Amino acid sequence: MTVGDYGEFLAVSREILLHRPAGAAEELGLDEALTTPGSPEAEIAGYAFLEAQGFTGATSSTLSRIALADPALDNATGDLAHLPLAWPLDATPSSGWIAFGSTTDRALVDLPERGLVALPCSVAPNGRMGLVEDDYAHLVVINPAGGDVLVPEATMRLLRPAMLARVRLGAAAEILGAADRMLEDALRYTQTRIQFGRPIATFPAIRDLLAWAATERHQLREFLAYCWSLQPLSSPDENLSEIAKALAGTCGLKIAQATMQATGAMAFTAEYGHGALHRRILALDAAAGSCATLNREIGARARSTGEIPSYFSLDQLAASLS
Amino acid sequence: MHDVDPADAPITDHALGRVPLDEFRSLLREWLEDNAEVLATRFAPMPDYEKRVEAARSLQRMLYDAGWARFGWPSWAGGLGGNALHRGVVHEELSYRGWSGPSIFEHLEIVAPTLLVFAQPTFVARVFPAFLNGSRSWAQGFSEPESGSDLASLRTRGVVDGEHIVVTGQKIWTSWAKWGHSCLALVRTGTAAERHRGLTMVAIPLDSPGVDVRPIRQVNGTEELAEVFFSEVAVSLDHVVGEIGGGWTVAMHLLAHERGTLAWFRHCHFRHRLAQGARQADASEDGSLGAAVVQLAGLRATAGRQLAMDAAGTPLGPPTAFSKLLMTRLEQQLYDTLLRIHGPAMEFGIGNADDQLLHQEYLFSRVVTIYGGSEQMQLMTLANRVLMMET
Repeated sequence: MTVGDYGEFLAVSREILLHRPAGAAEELGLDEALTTPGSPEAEIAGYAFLEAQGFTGATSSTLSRIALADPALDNATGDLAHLPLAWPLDATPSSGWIAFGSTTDRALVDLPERGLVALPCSVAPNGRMGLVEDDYAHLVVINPAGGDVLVPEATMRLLRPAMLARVRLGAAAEILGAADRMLEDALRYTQTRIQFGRPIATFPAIRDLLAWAATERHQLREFLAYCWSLQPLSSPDENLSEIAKALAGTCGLKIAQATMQATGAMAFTAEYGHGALHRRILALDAAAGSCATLNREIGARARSTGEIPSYFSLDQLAASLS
Repeated sequence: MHDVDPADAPITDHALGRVPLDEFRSLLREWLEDNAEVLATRFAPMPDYEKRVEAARSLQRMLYDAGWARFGWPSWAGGLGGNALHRGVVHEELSYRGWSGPSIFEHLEIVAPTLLVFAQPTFVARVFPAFLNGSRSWAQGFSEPESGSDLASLRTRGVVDGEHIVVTGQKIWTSWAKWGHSCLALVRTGTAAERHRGLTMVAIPLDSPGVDVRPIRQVNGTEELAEVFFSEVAVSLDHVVGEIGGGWTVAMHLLAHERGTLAWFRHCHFRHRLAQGARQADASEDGSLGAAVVQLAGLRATAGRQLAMDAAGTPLGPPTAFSKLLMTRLEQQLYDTLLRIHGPAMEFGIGNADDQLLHQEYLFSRVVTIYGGSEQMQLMTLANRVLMMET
């Protein structure tokens, strides 16, 4: 798998999502491919689709499908494969659950000690995230008792680290897409917004803001490009995906702030697209370890081991480009 | 530009130039293990720059004799084949073992790649081996008192006279000139109105009659920078690098390395310092340590990919500003964190030699957003050339 393949999938996904957002994942055959995993093409297409979804603000359950795209789970969820996977906020079940995908009355939940379970769920009060109409990320209420165990704990225990890694990589891709869109929108806005008789894009303060935002986007894109070059993604490197998620949250939130500043108060209105993208980034950051939490964990590990991992070698990086 | 295609860089004239990079790394590690005792004397922290420069020369010679300093350079220039990735591996392995950096040989990653592409091959073949073996080092003369960010306004004059180019003027902030043997200088051979089209790059031997190097005492106590005065300095025309009037293209190639690929080499030292700081930190620093680890990983991916592109002969161009911004921001944030961890020993440069070095490095980290193209210039480059924003 090459980064070029990722780019092709990204372009196709964006095109379809922009014109026919409803059912785009089905149109691309993505849901089916990820439900019967093991194909590197399907995995890379899934991450590219999530980046495109972040860019377009479309909705699908692809993040859940990516999470469960493990060959060992082949068809384990059967007819329930379409359900969203509820994820503990900040990796702590007691702090609540978040589900990505259109609202349903049931969700798949990975419960330590029980395994993968299908449980009734409902959107929490204010779970739709305030004023912004975006049927994608929901805080949900789940009663962990009951439900049907689809995959037993003995199996899930083995699969859990890779599942967490895939969710982190998927959320990172989606954050990159949303941040990319924010930057594109802000660049367009600053070319057309006239103050003091000229576009505000000509003012150094605005240009610096967006150049910094582009720098954050660049480093996130470069880091993820390396991640996509690895095979197989079905068992991703846990440390690498942890860094990817922390970097995505950090960069995404900075880009949100910079683009909002460049766009002005318009970006603070509920009707302007920036707010929905911003909230998506907040939700994606909160799931499976926020950048604040991950930074602390990564720092604590560095302190206890006295080592800073290299994460990848120059040899691997060069090979990923060839 | 001369007929040297960087894409042909993996010259296979030595067995190690042909082995995969990971095998090259393994063999290097074996050599480093075998020579750990001697190397430790070169790696020891040396806040005294005279001693530090001497150790750098000695280490460079040792690496050259063992072959490691010759990988990454073509055989016609005195190397043993391979490309920038080989140099990247050597640098990383040395840094991981506590090496604080190349000091006067920093220009092996800034000046040297540009000499290979633009200087006359016979000139390169003559001067390059002495650069690689540590007996001669280089400086870079771009900035002038009245020309900093506006480099194209520089006034140091170069007049072609028969077989020579005669240089008169002044450079400033010239790194490592105090110890340097040659200075790659950008001079004006055309008119001031021609701006960047009237510039020429020339390699000036610093022992030429008419050259006066005056070190600048810096706030961190060192004399890494200098003013260099040229008074009718006659330099043979075969020292011209690139075409007469083509100096801007040469300068941009050089700056792409100073801003882009250099980030790979600098980040290796950041990793060493971050690990060292983590070992002495308490839990209150977990968040900032973790943030630095994450930013270091982002820089590593960005800089590593640029190094790989350079090794493949892909022009780097304006996106090198991304690396420069990420590298310098991380350096300042890292040393802010280290300052809290190491406390007064680092704040005042008291204590052991490493504390003194940390103090020097902290103060130096304050200036990294100024040299090599200021932060403001990098942001302007991105806005103009990458984001294509209206001016």
